[in-house]
Amino acid sequence: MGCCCSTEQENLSQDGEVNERTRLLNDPVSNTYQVTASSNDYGNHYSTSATKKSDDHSVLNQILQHTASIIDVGALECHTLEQHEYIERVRTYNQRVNAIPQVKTSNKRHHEVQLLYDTPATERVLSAQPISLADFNMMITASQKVVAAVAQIRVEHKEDLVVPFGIP
Amino acid sequence: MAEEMRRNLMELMKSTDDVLGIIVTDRDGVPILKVAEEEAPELGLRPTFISTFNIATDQAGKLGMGRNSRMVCVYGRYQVVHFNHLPMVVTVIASSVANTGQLLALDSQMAPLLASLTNVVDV
Repeated sequence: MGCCCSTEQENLSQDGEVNERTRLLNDPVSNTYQVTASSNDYGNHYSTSATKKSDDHSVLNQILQHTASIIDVGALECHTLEQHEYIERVRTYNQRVNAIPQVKTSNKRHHEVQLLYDTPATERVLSAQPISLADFNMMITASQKVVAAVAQIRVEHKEDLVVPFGIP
Repeated sequence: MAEEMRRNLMELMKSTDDVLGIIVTDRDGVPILKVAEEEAPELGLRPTFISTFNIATDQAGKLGMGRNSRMVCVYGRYQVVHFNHLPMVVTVIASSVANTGQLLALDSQMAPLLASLTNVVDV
């Protein structure tokens, strides 16, 4: 009677040539990366190695496109600028920098808010009429009241700071 | 305006100890603004040296830690700090004994200057 299995070793082709033993369907239990064969491959039993190489190349390109972080060591050559291009760019940048409009700011270096500001015509400010004595006394009285009120701020202890809870 | 910016940059350079040069360039090392002391190494001011940062920062950004913003390179006698403000690159050259932290803090001090140079370089 016939048998389903054979003791002979499977003679897989070494160089990938299609023969009567070539798998038509992908091995479902295999963990290796399987190239999805195009429908043309099933009909073309005479595919050359050049076609196989181009398939590998397209698969590689597909992987490269999907992978974002590729460090291409081969492309680490410095792009040296041509002399005329360098001069042209320097000239362009100089023109653009000179064309930037002047911005009137007191101090360009410090971006933060400053405590001191330049006051022009200081003699006019200093020679102005001083404030009246009534205003001055009112300011002194008010500030003394504020100081006294702040000194009376205190914490009233009403509850314990450490409260035990959840302890049986 | 260019003269005023150059003067500000010069003032910044002189007020920071051991700084020998500050160059604002595009990604290929073409200078936009440059101030340098006489002791600054001439090779460090060339586009061939500064343009290597462009490649390095691109590759460094692929290491899975986000965009590379600054790079410090310390040599025997000098140290070079690059700031990535693409399309502009700022390179600070200082002596090897300079305070690296202070050099890195120059980034925030140069922010207003770089903001005014935004439209100079083509993106």
